[in-house]
Amino acid sequence: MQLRRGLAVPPALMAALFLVLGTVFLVLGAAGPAAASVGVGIQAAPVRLAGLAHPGQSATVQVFVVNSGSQPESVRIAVQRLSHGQGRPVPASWVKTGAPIARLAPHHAVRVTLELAVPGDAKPGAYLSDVVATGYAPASAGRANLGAAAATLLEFRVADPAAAFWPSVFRQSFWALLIVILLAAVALAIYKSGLRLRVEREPVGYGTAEERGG
Amino acid sequence: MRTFLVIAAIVVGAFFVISFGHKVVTDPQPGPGHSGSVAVSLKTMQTYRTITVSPTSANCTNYAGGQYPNRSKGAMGFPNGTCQVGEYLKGKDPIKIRYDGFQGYVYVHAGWAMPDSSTGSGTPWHPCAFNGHKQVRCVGTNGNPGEDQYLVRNFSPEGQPTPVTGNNVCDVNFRPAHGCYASRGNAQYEGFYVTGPRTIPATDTAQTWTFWVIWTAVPPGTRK
Repeated sequence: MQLRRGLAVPPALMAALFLVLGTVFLVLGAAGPAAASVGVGIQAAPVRLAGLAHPGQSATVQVFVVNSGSQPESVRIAVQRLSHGQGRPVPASWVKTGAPIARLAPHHAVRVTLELAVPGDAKPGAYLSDVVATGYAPASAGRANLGAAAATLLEFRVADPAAAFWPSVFRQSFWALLIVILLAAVALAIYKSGLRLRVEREPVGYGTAEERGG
Repeated sequence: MRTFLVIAAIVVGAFFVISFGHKVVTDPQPGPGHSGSVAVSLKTMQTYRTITVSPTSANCTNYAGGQYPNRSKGAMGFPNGTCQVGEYLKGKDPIKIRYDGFQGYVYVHAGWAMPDSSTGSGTPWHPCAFNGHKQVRCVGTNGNPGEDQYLVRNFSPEGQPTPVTGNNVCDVNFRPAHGCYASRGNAQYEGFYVTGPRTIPATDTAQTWTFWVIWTAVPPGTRK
C-alpha cells in the first residue's frame, strides 16, 4: 500500500509530462531529417600560368574542387566564359582534363589537373575564361533535378612569337657583337699602325738512323 | 696581308667562342657555397567559392493547362501545360540556395529536358524565354514555348517569376536588391514554374522527362 502510494503519480504531473513529451515529438516531427543537398566549391584564387603561354606548346595548371553537399556526387570540369573582364575567351578545345568527371565524397576535395594546349595559330594577348566545376547528385527520373556549380577565373597571356624572337636574338648576341666590334677595331688599328706579325715555320727534321740509335 | 688574315681568324674564333659559349657561361648552376639552409613549411587556409542547393531534386506538382483531351491533373498537358515547384503567391519556396566563400555572383541556368528512355523515346526540350536572342526565345503563341521548348521561371520571396534560359545568367531572384551579388553565408529560398511545349513530335513516346536547374557561383571578374 505504502508502495503503491509512493508510485502513484499526481494527475497534474502526468499532464505536464505528456505536454513536454508531446512538444518534443512535435518539434522532431516537424523538423524531420535534414534535406539532402548538392554542393560544389572551387578555389577562389584565379588559375594562372606561371609564365607566358607559347603557341604550339602545352602547359598544365591545377585547380582545387570540393564537394560541399551532403552526399557523394559527380563533378564535371569545363571551361566557359562567365566572368567579365578584358581578354579573349579561352576556346574550350584548348583545355583538356585527365578525367572529365570526378567522384567526390561529401566534404572531400580533389586537385584536378588541366592541360592547356595552345595551338600554333593562337592569337597573342590576354585570355580570360572560367573553370567551372558542376556537381550532380544522381538524377531522379521524372523530377526537377537541382545542381550546383562554382567557377573561378582562368587567365593567361599568349606570347607573340614575332615579338619574342628578335629581342631574344639581340639579347643573346649583343655582347658577342660588341666584343667582335672591339676586336675588329683593335685589329684594324694594328694593321694601320704598320706593326707586322711574322709567322715562320721551321723545317722539322726526323734525324738520321744513327741519331735514333738504329 | 697574312697578318691581317691571322687577326681576322682570331676575331672570328672569339666570336664563335663567345656566341656558342654563352649558355654555358651563364648557366645558373648552384655554387658550392658555405651557407646552410633550413626548409620551412607552413599551412594556409584553403579558400573556396561554394554553392549548395537543397534538396537535390523536387517534384513538379499542380499540373494544369493544356486542352481537352490533352489535359490532366496528374501529368503535363498540351499545348503548354504547366506544373510548379513551390508556389509564389502562397510563399512556398522549397529550394534553398546557399552561397559561401569569397564574394561573387550567383548565376542560374536550365538544362535540356531529357526523355526517360525507360518510358519511351523523345526529342529533348530546350529551355526558352519570353524575349532575348532568337536562339533562346520561346516561339509559341503569346510568348509560350513552341515545339520541343519549355519555359522555367524561378521566383523567391523577394523577387518575381523570371525566365531561366540555357545560358548562365545572373539570378536576379537571389538577392533582388543587390543584383545577384553574393557574399559569404548569403542564402535564398526559391521555387519555379514550368511551362511545357506547345507540341512534341508525334514520334515521341516518352512519358517521363527530366530536367536540371543549376545555380553557379561566379567570381566577380577582373578589372585591368
